[in-house]
This record gives sequence, C-alpha cells and structure tokens, in this order.
Amino acid sequence: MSMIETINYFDTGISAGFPSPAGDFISSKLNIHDYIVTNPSATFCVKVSGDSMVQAHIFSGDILVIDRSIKPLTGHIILCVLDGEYLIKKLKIKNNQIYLVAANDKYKPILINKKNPFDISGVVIASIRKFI
Amino acid sequence: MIFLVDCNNFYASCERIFRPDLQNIPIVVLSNNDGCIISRSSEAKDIGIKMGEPVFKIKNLIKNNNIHVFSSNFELYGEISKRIMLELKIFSSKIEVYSIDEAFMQIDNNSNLSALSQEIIYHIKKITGIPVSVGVSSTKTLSKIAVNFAKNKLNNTFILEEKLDIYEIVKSLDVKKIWGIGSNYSKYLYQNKIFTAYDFMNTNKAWIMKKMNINVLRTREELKGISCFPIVTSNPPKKTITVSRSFKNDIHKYLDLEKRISDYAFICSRKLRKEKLTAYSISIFIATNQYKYRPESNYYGFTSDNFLVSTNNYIDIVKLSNKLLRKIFKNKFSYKKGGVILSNLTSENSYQASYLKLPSSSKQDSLMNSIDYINNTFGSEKIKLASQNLQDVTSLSRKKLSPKYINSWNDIPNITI
Repeated sequence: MSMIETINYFDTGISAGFPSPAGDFISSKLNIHDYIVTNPSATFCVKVSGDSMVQAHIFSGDILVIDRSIKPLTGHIILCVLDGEYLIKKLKIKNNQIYLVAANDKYKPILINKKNPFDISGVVIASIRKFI
Repeated sequence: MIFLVDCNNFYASCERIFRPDLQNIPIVVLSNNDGCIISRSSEAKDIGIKMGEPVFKIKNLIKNNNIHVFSSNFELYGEISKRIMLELKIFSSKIEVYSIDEAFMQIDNNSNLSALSQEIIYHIKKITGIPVSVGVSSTKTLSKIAVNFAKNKLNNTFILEEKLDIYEIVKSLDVKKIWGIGSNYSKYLYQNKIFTAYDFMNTNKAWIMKKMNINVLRTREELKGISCFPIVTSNPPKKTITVSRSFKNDIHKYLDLEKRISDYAFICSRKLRKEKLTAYSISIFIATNQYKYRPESNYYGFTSDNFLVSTNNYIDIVKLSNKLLRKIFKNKFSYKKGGVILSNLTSENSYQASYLKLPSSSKQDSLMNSIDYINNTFGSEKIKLASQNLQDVTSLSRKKLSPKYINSWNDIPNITI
C-alpha cells in the first residue's frame, strides 16, 4: 500500500543546466497511506456489500480499513466474528452487555450472549470510496 | 535471558486469520506442487495426520474428516511473518529472525519472565491473529528445548530456569532432539552409547573436538547454561541467489529451454535487485531425469562465467545466462530440471561496483528501475525480456491456493454487511 514513495525514480531525471530550486524540497509529499494507516502491521482491508451500515456512510463496494491494535469502545464501528461469520456493526457497551447496532433502522440490534462464540477482529478506522 | 518465540502451526494458522468459519476445523497446508503435508492445525494433528505425508496417501482421511486443504500461499505467510517480527521488536531490539516463524530475543533485567511471555503471546495474537509459544532460558539451545515444552502447555509458555528442572529434562531428552545435533551426529552419538542430552553433556570435551566439531562442543556448553551462540541481529548478506525448478513435462527443444533459463535468470535478477546487491559470477545447470532414464540417456550440464563488472542489470544477466546455455545444451536429451545461480555478490553501493560502472550505465539504470517500478506496481510479470516465457514460470501447481488477503487489492476479503 505504499507505492507513492517509489515514484521518486522518475522525478529526478538527468538534465543539463540550472538545477531546480525545488530540488532540496522534493521529499515532502502527501502520502495517503501515512494519513490513513497508523499501525501498519495491525492493518488490513476488506470490501463490503450490503446496506446495514448506510447511515454510517458505508455503502456497497466500499473498502474498509481495519486496525487490530485499537481498543474497541462504544461508538466504534467494528469488524467482529459472531458464530463464525464476519459482521460490521457499531459497538455499544451498556450495563456490561455488548450490543451490535446496525446503522440502518431496518435491522435490529444484536445482544451478545455467552452461548454464541463472539470475537472482535478490529476497529474500522476509515472507509475508502472512489468516485471515478 | 533468551526468549524463543515460535508460531503455532504457522502456515495453517495464517490460513485461518481471514476465515473465521474455519476456527475449529482441521486444516492442512501442502508443499510446493501440492505434494506433501507441511503444516497441520492442532485438529489435523489429533486426527493423526503426519508431517511430510504425501497427500495422495491420505485422500480418504481428508474426505472423511472434512479436513480443509490449502496450497502454500507464501506471499501471505511472508507478509504475516514480517508483521510478527516487526511487532516483536517492541519487546527487544536484540532480535534474531531465525526462520519464517521463529525468532530469538534477548531480554535482560526482567524479573517476571512468565508475565512477559504472556504479554508477548497476547500482543502477537491481537495484532496479527497468529498464536505463538514462548520458551525462555539462559541460552538459545535451552530456549529451543523450552519452546517445545511450551507448545504442550495451556498457556503456551515454558520457563526453563531452575537447575533441577533442566536436570530432569535433559535426563530423558533424546540427543537427536537437541538443536544443532543433526541426524548424522546423533547416529554417531548413539553408536558411542550417548543417548540422552544428559549423556551428551557429560561427554569428554577433547573427544567431541576430535570426532566432531567446535559447534557440537558449543552446543554442549549451551546445555549447561553457558551462552555460546549469541543473538545475530542482522542477517549475514546472502552468498548466492539460486532459482531452479523441475519442469512439469520434459523439454527437448533448445528454444523451450532458453525460455525457462531466461525466466530463472530474470527472477534471480529481481531477487538480487530487491536486496540491493550485484553479482559478479553466474552459473547455470540443466539436467535430465536420472530416475527415469538409463545412464546413457542422462546428462548434467553445468558451467559458469563472470560478468565484465558486477551487475544487477536484467538484460546483462539474461543475456549471459543464454550464452552459457548454448555452451552446455546438447541435443537428443530430455531435460527435467534447470537453474541459474548468481554468486560473488556485493552491495550495490560498494566502492568496487560503482567505480567500475560502464559508461552507458546511467541510462540502463533508469531502464532497470522502470522495470522494477512497473512490475512492483502492476504485477510482477508485466514487463519481461523477449526471450522469456512467463507462462510457465510459476509452474508450481497450487490448486488449493487461498486469496492473498493482505498482498493484493483483488484478494482482500469480501464481507456482506
């Protein structure tokens, strides 16, 4: 995911004449990867489809960036596993109970009980959607 | 103290990270060309599947027990391994990556070894999803023994510290199981009535030096808690780079063979460039299938040459490999195997290499960098040389390959929400 640094190969071509006055400043560039990813070794991406999170502005085809190192708190959007299946939901912890809340009124919150195997895989830190 | 961190069933565990549906399901991973079992989840071990077993022999076992079978996804395992090693550096800067799934770490001045081990296990599992075991002792050799015990403990930790514990363990430990004692030496030791680690520790020093070598003696000292193998933090530079493969079908024609050799030379060069090295010497070999044919139909060709100056230029390397092939190629043989070996490697930046650059090289350098850039960005085989035939370069058969979940945008997990 860090391709931007490698572009440097091209931008210092050999040319005779007066050196560019910008030459010394060439290293500062916007790096999208650095902006989004803070813990590279804990980060991975998933592609989603479905409408259960539309009110959180997560739509079909979006790519979500997941960070496994962040401690999940109420209000976080999380990637979790319930009964062996991945889910993306909003986490709500209330009176020592865990609820998984959809961001779409069509779907009811899920209360986690101890019977069903449940695990939080990571916290969604960003969503990427390209328009073109 | 030395902490040895060892991933539990590493390849099988990697296959599980993005497959929550396989949490308690038996998994096996196959070797190159889907031949043998090289990794088993604990469930698969419980069913009785052995390490190294050819997969065709246990077809029924796999079917009847609903065992999930995967080809080896080395791209995925390599990336997960990198992440684990990076995270381990949080705990110690003195770390030696010993293999894809093992690392030695030196951590001193810590009084609660057990708590720290637990913290390492928890952290690596949380960040990467991989379960690991930790063995702790005063030397590398002892920590290797400790980690084998850790694997069978509920908390995956074993601290081998007390003299009495060590004594108890070495008394019953087969000398063959000691790290660094190969099968040859263990046979020799058996012949001399040295069966356990305890027997070995009490073997005469001069006799070991006379009959074996200094490293065997060091191993003996390490068992006694005297550290002889220090943590090696940086990998020693590679001495050679080799790419060789067996062909799926025998090759008879020169041109077909040239395509293969060109591919291998290209892959060698790519590896070389990745490590920022240059090569001065190149060797190539071609061979017939010695198990299949009679001696008179067998041939093994090998030759070497040097470059004008050390190079990591794709074109130079492929060109010379083809020239060498013409030298050793003989008609009327059925070739089964071929390979390219680069040697006399030096760092790209070393004085000798840069001093001797040819006049045309700066233009060539930017061409080479462009090839790397395009292949790194758009897929490793977008740009190649005309003599190559990349159809068969990845001639490994990997029929049960899982997606490259964290290596490729096309392969990231799909989730229905």
